[in-house]
This record gives sequence, structure tokens and C-alpha cells, in this order.
Amino acid sequence: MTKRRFTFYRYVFSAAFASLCLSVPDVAAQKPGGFTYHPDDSVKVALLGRNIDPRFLTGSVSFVSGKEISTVPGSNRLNSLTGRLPGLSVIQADGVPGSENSTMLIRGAHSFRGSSAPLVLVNGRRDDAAMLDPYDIESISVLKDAAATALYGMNSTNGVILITTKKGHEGPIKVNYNVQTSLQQPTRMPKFLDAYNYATLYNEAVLNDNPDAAAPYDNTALQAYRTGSDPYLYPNVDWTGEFLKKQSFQTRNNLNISGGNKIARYFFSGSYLTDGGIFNVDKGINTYNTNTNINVMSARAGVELNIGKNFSIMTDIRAKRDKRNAPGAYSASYDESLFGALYALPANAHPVFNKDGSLAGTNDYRNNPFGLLNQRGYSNYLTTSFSSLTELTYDLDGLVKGLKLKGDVGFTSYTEFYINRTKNFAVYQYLPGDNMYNKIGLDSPIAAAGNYNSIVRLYDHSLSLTYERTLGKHNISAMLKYRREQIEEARSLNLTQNFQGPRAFLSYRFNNRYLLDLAASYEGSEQYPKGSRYGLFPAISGGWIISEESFLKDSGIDFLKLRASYGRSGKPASTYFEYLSAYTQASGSGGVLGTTPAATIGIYESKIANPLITWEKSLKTNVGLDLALLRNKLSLSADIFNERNTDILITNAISATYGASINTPNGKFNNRGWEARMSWSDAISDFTYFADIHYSNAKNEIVYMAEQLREHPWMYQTGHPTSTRMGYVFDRFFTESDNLSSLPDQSILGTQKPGDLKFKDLNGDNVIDENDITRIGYANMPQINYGAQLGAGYKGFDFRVFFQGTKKSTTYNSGSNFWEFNNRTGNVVEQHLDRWTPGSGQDAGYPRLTLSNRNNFVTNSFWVQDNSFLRLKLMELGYTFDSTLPDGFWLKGARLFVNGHNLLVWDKVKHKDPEIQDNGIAYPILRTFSIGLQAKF
Amino acid sequence: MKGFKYFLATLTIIAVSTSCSNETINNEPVQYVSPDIVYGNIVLITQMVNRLYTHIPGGYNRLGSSSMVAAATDEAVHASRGSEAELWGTGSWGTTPATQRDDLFSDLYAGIRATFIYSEEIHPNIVDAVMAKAGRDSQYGQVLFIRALLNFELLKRYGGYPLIRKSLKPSDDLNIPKSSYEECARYIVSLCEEAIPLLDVVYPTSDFGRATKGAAMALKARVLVYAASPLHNISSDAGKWADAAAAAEQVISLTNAGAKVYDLHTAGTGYDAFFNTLAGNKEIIFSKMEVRTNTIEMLNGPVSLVGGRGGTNPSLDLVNAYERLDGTPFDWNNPEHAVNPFADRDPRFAKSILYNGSSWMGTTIETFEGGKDLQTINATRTSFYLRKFLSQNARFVAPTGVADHCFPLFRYAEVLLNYAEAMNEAYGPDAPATYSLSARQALTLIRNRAGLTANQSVPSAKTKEEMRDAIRRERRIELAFEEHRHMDLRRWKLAEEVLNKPVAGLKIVKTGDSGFSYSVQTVESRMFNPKMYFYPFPQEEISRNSSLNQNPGW
Repeated sequence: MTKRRFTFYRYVFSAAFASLCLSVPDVAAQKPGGFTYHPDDSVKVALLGRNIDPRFLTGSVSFVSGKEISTVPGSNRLNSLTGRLPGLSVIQADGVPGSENSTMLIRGAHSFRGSSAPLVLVNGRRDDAAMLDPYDIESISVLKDAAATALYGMNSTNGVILITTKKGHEGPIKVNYNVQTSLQQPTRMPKFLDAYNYATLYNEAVLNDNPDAAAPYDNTALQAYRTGSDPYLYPNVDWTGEFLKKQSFQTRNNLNISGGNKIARYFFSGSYLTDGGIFNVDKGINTYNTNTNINVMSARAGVELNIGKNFSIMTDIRAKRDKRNAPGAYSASYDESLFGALYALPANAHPVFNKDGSLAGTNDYRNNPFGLLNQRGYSNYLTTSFSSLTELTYDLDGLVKGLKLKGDVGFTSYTEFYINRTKNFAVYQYLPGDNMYNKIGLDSPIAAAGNYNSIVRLYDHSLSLTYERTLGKHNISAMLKYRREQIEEARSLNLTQNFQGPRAFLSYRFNNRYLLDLAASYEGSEQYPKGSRYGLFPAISGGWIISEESFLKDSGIDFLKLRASYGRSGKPASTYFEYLSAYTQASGSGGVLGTTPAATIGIYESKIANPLITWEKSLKTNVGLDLALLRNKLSLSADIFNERNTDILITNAISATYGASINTPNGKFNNRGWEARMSWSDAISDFTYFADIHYSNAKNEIVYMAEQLREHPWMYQTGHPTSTRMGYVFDRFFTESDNLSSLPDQSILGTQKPGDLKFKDLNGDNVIDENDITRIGYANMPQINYGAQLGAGYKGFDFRVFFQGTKKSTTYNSGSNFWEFNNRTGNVVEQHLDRWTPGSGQDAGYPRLTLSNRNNFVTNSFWVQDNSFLRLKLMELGYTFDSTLPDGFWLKGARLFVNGHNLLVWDKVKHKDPEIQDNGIAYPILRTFSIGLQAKF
Repeated sequence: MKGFKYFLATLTIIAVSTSCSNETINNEPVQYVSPDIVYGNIVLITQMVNRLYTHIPGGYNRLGSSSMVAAATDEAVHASRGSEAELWGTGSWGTTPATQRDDLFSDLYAGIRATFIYSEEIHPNIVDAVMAKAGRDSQYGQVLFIRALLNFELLKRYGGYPLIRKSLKPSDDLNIPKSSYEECARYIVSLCEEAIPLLDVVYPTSDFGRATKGAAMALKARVLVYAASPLHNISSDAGKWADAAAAAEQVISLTNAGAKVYDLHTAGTGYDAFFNTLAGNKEIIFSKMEVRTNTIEMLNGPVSLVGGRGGTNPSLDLVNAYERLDGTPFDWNNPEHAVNPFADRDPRFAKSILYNGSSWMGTTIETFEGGKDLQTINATRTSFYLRKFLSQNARFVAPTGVADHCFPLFRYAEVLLNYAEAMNEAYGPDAPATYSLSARQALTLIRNRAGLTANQSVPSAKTKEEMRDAIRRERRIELAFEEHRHMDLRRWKLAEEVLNKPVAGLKIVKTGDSGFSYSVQTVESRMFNPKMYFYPFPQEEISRNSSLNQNPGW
């Protein structure tokens, strides 16, 4: 009786080393005595159009298996890549259930214009990727250099994230069921002050602005706030505590069935996710739910059939529908505006309810959160997406050995529809003088409205010839393909965008030692003038596996490869038919005429043909090294890269005598950096362990953006990284001993009093003005990303801990979450207690409080905050039972696990999660504790 | 090979489905209208010309949509502080977007480009069957006039500027140096001369506001007056004045069916009714046409009228420049004058300026200390409010109403003043040369219409120099607030002298029941240094046009 080996965990860690061309010990099932490389058993890396043995990679590719990230909580799968791979930076902007918006960059920014977000592909095509079920994902490859992305020609500059979904394999039927339940809570919330502190600071701010003014809150009020003696007249409400729950729950279920034989192989999966909202709604009030939440259903079916000897057909069909619920009127930023309203409400604004039970509010504060959450109706946000991919392959071995003919067709349809079922509510203000309630606003019945937010239709097809053959020491692999891709955004009424053209690669390997790859695409789009629609995007790359040379045999070096690539990538101009001119007729757009003057109908050249319009080009160089030592226990990989991006559109870079606004492709942008990864894995008897760390740095520079000539060198953005902020430089606080007339004149920024921010006079002309504005801080996206994972296994137990960090980025503390009494009615937070007061000198942490002085709030470096962080991203403990299960038992294997996500963070930002946007107003990013089961039948 | 057949069949399906797809890479948006649709349709041709009129700069409170150019000169200040006009007038003026004042550089080139699109893409392609030659000529003449006017707007601001003679392509060399003042002026005059024979003399009422033959003539005359003026006429060539006089005379003597086309508007109350009257107003040569509003009344309204924003506050210096009704200068040192300073003045005074005691929109203006028009935030700083251009009917307070407000860009009085100035410089005060009017006679017409009594309407100036001063003063009064003063002071090279004096207003204190005491108070500084004779080119333009040299001093 042989015991079934349950190798569930097998690929989890091995995949991390793909870029090193090495497999690593199977942590959960390590054979004593170490590890040897088995070519048959190796992991294949998915590239565009093929899978290859990672040993023979010549481009720059990082790779992670679906299994490694399948237990990471959250509904946006792309976020699970955070910190996992060198060269990929993911920063999450919010925790909105179902979207968990984030920004991704591969090797930093590639332009100062437009998006630098990578192209995300599922099985080689654009698709709705963010909410894929984790157990449907076989692997994710991150393609970084020109060689790796060459087949995506015009869309390749920003890099490619290539997701490959699972397929059925020959073998008996396998049934997997995975379930995971997570408890979620905000990582960090702003700390608002109570009513007493609010009133005290408000008094202080009023007196700061005008020492002769009467303090708005007298001693009676202050005492009442302190003692809470009259919660109706002197309320003290902890709004976030009252209306945000301490936790919410997410549950994911996935069932998949796979198997097959020589004729047919199949993979079916179905999944269901529910993610609850954090709002504390009163469920007794409405017959409907007003809390935010999402549920997602998805199904996938993949079948491969061999028909006859040479012909095979593969089809993969996916469907998904989700439904999000939200309080009140839905809009894309709804959660943000709701949090904005909640955060801006001072503790003493009004009670939740008046003494008579009516909903409280005042003229300044009409958005009682109870009303917003329970009496504004609800909205639904419905998305549906389908996609299908069909691939036909005919083996032409009979004609030429190794030759195949392939054709494929894919399409995706994606819609987002919203329905708002909203109403308004009145609030009541108690007027103590009259002992009556003043009604503010009106209660209204529910009205429904809805429309499509987005209708995206994608279609693509290709026809290709592939050839692969080994002749003695020569191995040749080649492909010639014609591909066309269509993107239709039906809601915009714009014409379909096309990308089409031939592409090819030729890969040659000699003696498993010398590697040469040539790849190119010749791609065109209708967005450019006839005659200059197509661009060539070639790349050449090569590698030398030195460890195969005789002089390194028995040197202790198990693997050593040098590789280099050079090529051209492209990025679309993101304009709409700019090479065409058009005349627009509009009533009222002509001059005014007549003795009874009236605007006439006019017609004019509204679009001026721009024959210069073109795509951005990027010349990329990459040099890398992969090394394995000590019987493959230690592996190292490093890359350095350099890219020069040209033809970036600049608006109005030419003389105004041209007479119109125009984009000209003369922007230039450089980006360079390096990445390194080091891994160690070993086993001591039954105990296996590994460590894997990586570090990447990408620094960009604006080379030319037609910036106007400036008085001083520090005023330029050119020569520095993109997206850095420009502002005044904080020098110190003004103090009581300052004689304003002897200091540089800062009066154009407002009035200055002791405790206000004093800025540096950079040009020394004794006036603080635009000449003293310079770059302050870094961009919001980090320049440096790093990650470290440590893991261990003993018998059935496995444990891993994963840290992720960033450096060289800044956030700009601003808005109602950070600035006192924002727009006069705003809130106060904990850091305001550390404000400047007479005698503070330079020790204060915050300027003097004010209701009106704008001096402190002009863009300046005082508010620039280093938001680099180190996060304990994931900690997981699992137990796999397989060998203990009797043969023939209904359960073939299972793994139970518990994990924690976003557990701890070390950073300098104290009032918000370091990843959240500048003003901190967003659905909070969540810390998660999960328990899960992965069972196999 | 059975499988291969399936495969071929499938490929065929793919191929067919693809070729049926009508979204190809050669698809273009069909709704994009091309020039041939425009030039093939008489209505669209006219509409394209209609559009060009929107490129003409307007007047009134156009600086930052709140203040008037006049409030940056010795004519006035602006009521609310920190206005665009105040910054400009006090010398806070630079080349960056934040510090540029009256920056129309790119707007004017956009308009010029639009005129070339018409003359290159539309005009040459119109066939007789679509529009007869007379109609084509009229449209084309308007286009030429607008191009000339936009060029003049550049010329008066920048002096010489990069001269554009076609619609530029992005691939053209756009490093265009500035041409000389003379070359630019010559080009504008030649555009006018090309337009004059093509243009209609008058239009039907529904087309009122289109450029006429007289408009092109008046523009030509003004360009020549500017070119003959001291700032630009370095060699003091009297011939330039003679050319200017001849050009102005063409407007004066222009006839239609035997009748003179233009005359000073005397109907109603004459000088003030002129600004709110369109039909039958023979003084209008060309205006920036606007729909009926009461915005101007509100922006410049006395603050006691709810919604009034104070706006333009005429300066004491301008007030003092209005003569007495008898044609003698006003003098505060004359107790007789000073006791009742606003009475018995040139009638244009009360029609241009609201003062303490004026009646306006059913109220009496009170700008003495404590008066209702000297309270709240936008109250007058000089004790005066603007009256010119405004209509009592265009009420922004209930019962509300609107009135015509077409900003006069060219009017007959200005032509007469141009003529008088040019004649005096070329031939002296009283020589009519070969024309029907002398300088003095032209000035007399204006003073007559103003309501100065018959004898006093004739200027008393004796010499050419005295007459020059009289013409300049007359121009200041007659054309007050009409965006002439800031350019007149430049071309006369008087700006350094005049625009470095602080602007003053009156402090009025009520004494007893009906008496007032007056004292002078400075309200705003003025700063003008010689570089300001010409505007600076925008810094972006200097950065992007390597052949363009910044104007001296900037």
C-alpha cells in the first residue's frame, strides 16, 4: 500500500525561484539529503506565447505561483502581489470591499504623462483580472524588460503582468474545495479629539486670529463638555466609534474539479465571495440593507480536446457577476465622500438624536451619519463580465517536424451598472431659547435612478505558426503570428480601438549553454496618421550559462548565467484621432449680431489635425546574473536596467504663434535602477526552512518636458523624478521674538504671527514668492521596494512570515483629516494637541491653530511626510494531513491554516495607514485574521 | 487528415468573421465634419465667419472678469483690493502666467489662425453656385478685417511681434522672430486696404455688428495714428501724420447713397444714450457685440444697491479734468468752484461719473463718510462710481432689467479725435488742407455734441502745442474708460510722467444739514517704468520660440 502524497504546498515556494532557473526544496515534503535539479520536473515560466524552462530565460521575468498567494485575503487578487516580486510595486489606496483600489508599477514610472500602470493579461489577453478567484490562478509572471514584452509591442513599455489560469491535466478526477473566512479591521484610524478638546482648541484658534474676539465657548460649556452633564445641549459624540464597526467579515469559497485523459482534459471551478462592510447601520430601520458589501459569483470552465491525431481544441470560458451594496447615492467615490463627512464632524457638532428622539443636526452640519447610513436609501453597483478564449492547434509534424499551426479567438464583455435608490432626510436643531426644534432639510421618498458606468468589449484573434525542435546540440524555437486586438468602450461612443500586426520570435540555444533570442512585433493602430500607423518593436537578448562550461564543473557553482537584453518598447499616445481635423457647429458659438443682439450659430475648426501624433518609444537595456551555490541552497539573482523614453507628448511645447493647443512628441524621460534577490533553503532531517529576500530600486528623471525658462535652477522639475511636489520649504516657526519687518517678506501668502510657518528664502531677495518654490519630497509611489519571506516546515506543519517595505516616497498631509477646522467647520485630531503655543519655540509639532490664515496651508514641505514603511504583511501557519489519511478515504488530503495579513507596520505616519492617499480620507485599509481549509477529494 | 479539415473549417470561420467586422484599422469617426462640407453650404460659410467675431477682445470689466483696464491707469482704481487692475497699475507685472496682466497673446494667435483656416480652406473653394462673388467678397472682407484687428491688438501691446502670414503646421519652423513695428503696421494697413473694397457699407439690422467698410477704414486710421505717434515715429516724420489724417478723413467722408454714413449720436441725451443704443446709432462704427445684460451695472454698481460690487472708481484726477460748463478749467482753489464742485461741469461729467449726490436707479448716491455708498466691503475708494456705459434700465435690483452694452471698439467721435490729432500735427490747428474740416473744427463737433454751449465748444487753444494739449484732454474726457487711455499715454510717451503719480480720491465729510467738506486722499500707488511701454512676451513663449527676443527691460 503506497501512501498518497499530498503535494498541495509543493509549488508554493518553488515558484519564487523561477527566475533563478532553479527549483527549491519542497518545504512540506522535503527528502532528506538535499535537492537536485530535475529537468523533467522543472517549473515552466509563462511568457507571451509560450512557456519556457526558466534556466533558459534571457529576459527579465519574475514569477509567482498561484498557490503562493492563494491564501492572501482580500478580493482584489492583484493586491496579493504586493511586495512579492522584485521590480513590482503595489500601493493600495483604499479598502473598499470588492475594489481595494491600488496602483501598480513595474520598475517605477516610464513617462511623465499618462499612466505607467502595467498591462495585465489573463492567458495572454486583456481581461477583467482583478477579481479572479485565487484558486483559478496557476501562475503570475511579471515581464519587465523589452525582450520579455516584445510581443506586446505598442503596449509594452509599462511592463506586463501575465496571469495564467489553471488547466486540467491527464489523471484521475480531482476535486478541491477551499474555504477561508477572514475577520477584518482597519489598520489605523484617525484619532479625533473629544468635545472638550475641540471647544478648547476652537477658542484658541479664534483668539489666535483675533485677540480681541470673545471666546465662542464659555466656561459653562467647557465644563459641560468635560463632565458630559448634558449630552443634548453639550454633546460629545465619538462619531467614528459610533458608526464604524470594529470588524467586518469576508468569506471565500471555491470548488474546482479537474482531470482528464489523452483525449480530453478539463478544469471546472465555481466560487463565491462575500465581503461585509464596516458601517454600523441600524438593521431595524429599513427593509433593505444599507451597509456596504459585495458578493461575487464566478465560474470557469476549461476543456482541451484532441480530435484525431493532429488537431486539438482548447476553450476556456469564464463568467462573473458581482453586486455591491452601498448606503445612499452610489458614485465611484462614494465611500470617500461618506468617510469625508464622517471624519469632518466634530464631537460637539450635535448629538446623534435629540432629546425628543428626532435626528439631530444644525445648519452647518446637516449630514448626521446616522441619517447618511440609514436614511439616504441604498445603491447597488452591478458588474457582469464574461470572457472566452478558444484555441485551435494543428500539428504539422507530417509536413515539417516540430511545426504547428494555431489560431485563437477571444472576447470579453464587461459592464458596470448602478442603481441608486436614494432619498433625503431632515435633521432637527434644538433651539434652547424657544425650547423648540428647527427642521433643516426635507424628508423625501425614495427615487430610483440608474445607468451604465462602463461597457467594455474586448475582442482579439490571432493566427500563428510555431516551430520547436532539438537537433543534436541545437535547440530552435520560433513563432510567427498575426494578431489583432480590439478595445471598445461602448459607453464613450468612441470608435473601437485596434492594435494589429505581425509578431515573431526566434529562440536559439546551443548545447544548453549559449542562448540567443530575437523577438519583434510590427504593430499598428488607427490612432495615428496613415503612413505612420505601424511601429517596429524589436528586441534582442542573449544568455551564457557559464556553469555548463567545463572550467566551472565541480567548482561548487551549481548554476551561473549571465544575460542581457536590448530592445524597443512602445506606449500608446492615449489620444483620440488627433491626426484628423474636424469642424464643430454649435448654436451660440458664433459672434453676437443684430440690433437686437443675439448669439449666432457658429462653426469652427474644433480639432486641428496633428500629423505629429505618435506613440511613446522606450529603449530598454537589461543586464542580469543568476547564480546558485552550495548545492543549490543559496541562489542569487540581480538585474540592472536602463531605459530611455522618447516621443512623450507635451501639450503646447511649441510657440503660441501656432495658434492652437497641440501635443508634440518631444518629451524625454529616463528610468534606471536595479533589483536583487537572494534565497536560501535547506533541510535538517524533517525540518525544512527557507529565506527569500529581494530589493529593487527604480529612479526616473524628466529629461525634457518643455518646461519654461525659470529664474533659478531649483524651480525646475526637469532633471528630477516625475510626480514630485513643488512647494515652499519650511524653515521654522515664527516666534514671539521675530521682527517681521527684518525677515523676508512672506505677506503674499497671508498674515504671519508667531507659531506660523516661516519658509526659506531660497534666492535671498527677502521676499517669499514663486522663486522660492522648489521640489519638496519624493513622489507618492516609492522608489525602493523590498520584501522578505521566511518559512519553515516540519512534518505536516508549515509556517511562513512575510515582510514588505518601501522607501523614498512621501505623502502630503492635508485636508480635513489633518488640518484643523478645515473650512471652519472641520474637525480636530490628536496631533493638534501638539500645536504651537506661546513659549513652544521650535518644539511644537504643529503650527498655531487658526480658522482663516492661509499662510500655513500653501503647498509647503512642513506637510510632506516620509511614508516609507515596513509591514508584517502575512504570517501563516498550516498543517497538512495527507500521509495519515487511510488509502481510499473519501478525503484525499487537506490543509488547515490560519493567517494574519497587514498585521503590523513600522513607519513615521501616525495618523493614517502609510499607503492611503494624501488626505487620508478613504475606506480604511484592513488588517485581516483568517482561518481556512484546503481540501482535496 | 480529417482533423485538418475541421481545422481549416474553423480557420475559415475566423477569417470570415474577421473580414465581416466593420471596425477596421482604417475606420475614422464619420461625424468629423471636414472643410468641404463647410464651403459647400452657404449657411455654414456664414456661420464660420460668425465664429471669428468671438475672437475679438471685449472691454468692460474683462481683467480677471472683474476689473477694467481703466482701473490700472490714472482714470480709476478698482473697488475690491488685489484686483488684476490694481496689481497691474501698481507695477506688479511680470512674464510668468501668474504675473502677466492683460495677457491675450495666445488667444490672439488662436484667432489669427482661425482667420487663415477660413481664407485657406474655405474661401478659395467656394463656387458661385454656393455663394455669389459679392457674398464671398463680403465674408472674406470681414475675415480680413478681423485678422487685421487681432494683429493690431498684438501690435499695440507688444510693439513688433512674430508676424504670421498663414496657418502654421506643427512641422513648420515655429521659431519666428518679431518683425519691426513698421512692418507689422504696414501689414495691418495692407489687410485693411484689401478688406475695404470687399466690405459692405451697412448691413440689414439682423446683421448689425458685422465689420463694415467704415470699420476697416477706422482701423487703418487708428493704426496710422499710432504709427505716427511719438513712441513709434522716432524720426518725427510729419508725413505719417498726414497719412493718418487722410485715412481718418476717408471715414468722415464715407457716404452711402449720397448720405454720410457716420455722425455723432445726438438722439435722446446724446453722449450717454449712445452707449445703450444700437438701432439708428450712426456713431457706432464697430463694437464688441454682446447680448443684453445688467452685469456691467452690477459689477460697477454702488454698494447701497444690493448686489452692487463697487467696480470701477473714477479718480479725482479725471474728475478734475472735466471743464466747467463755460469751458474754463475746474479749480479747487476757486472757492466758487469748490463749494459745489460737481455742479455746472461739462455735461459729460455727470454722464460718465456718479458722485456724492447723483441720482441713480432710484437712489441718491452717498459717498460721504458714513454714507450708504461708503459702507461694506466693495465701497468706492475715491468717492466716485462709474456711470458711463451703464443704463438705468439695466437694473440688477428689482425690478430687474437689461440693456444693450456693445463695447465701442471704433466710434465716430474717436475717428474725429484721431483726425484732429493728425491734422494738428500735420497741418496745425486751423488748416483743413484738402479736406473739409480743420483740427479745431473736428474738436468743436465733439464738444458741441457733449452739450457745451455753442461758444465754449470751440477750443480756445492758439498754437499747435496748445491745440495738442486740448486734443489730448478732449480725448481723455470723451473716450474715458474705453480702453484708450493706457495706450494713448504710451504712444504719447507720457506714461512715465502720468502713471507714476498716485491715484487720489476725495474724502467727503458731511457738515451741517446739506454742506460737505472735501479733502484729497491718496488711494493707490502707480508705477510705470520705461520697459512697460511694451508688454513683455509671456515667458513660456520666450522658452519655446528660440528666435523671439524678449522686449527690452523685461
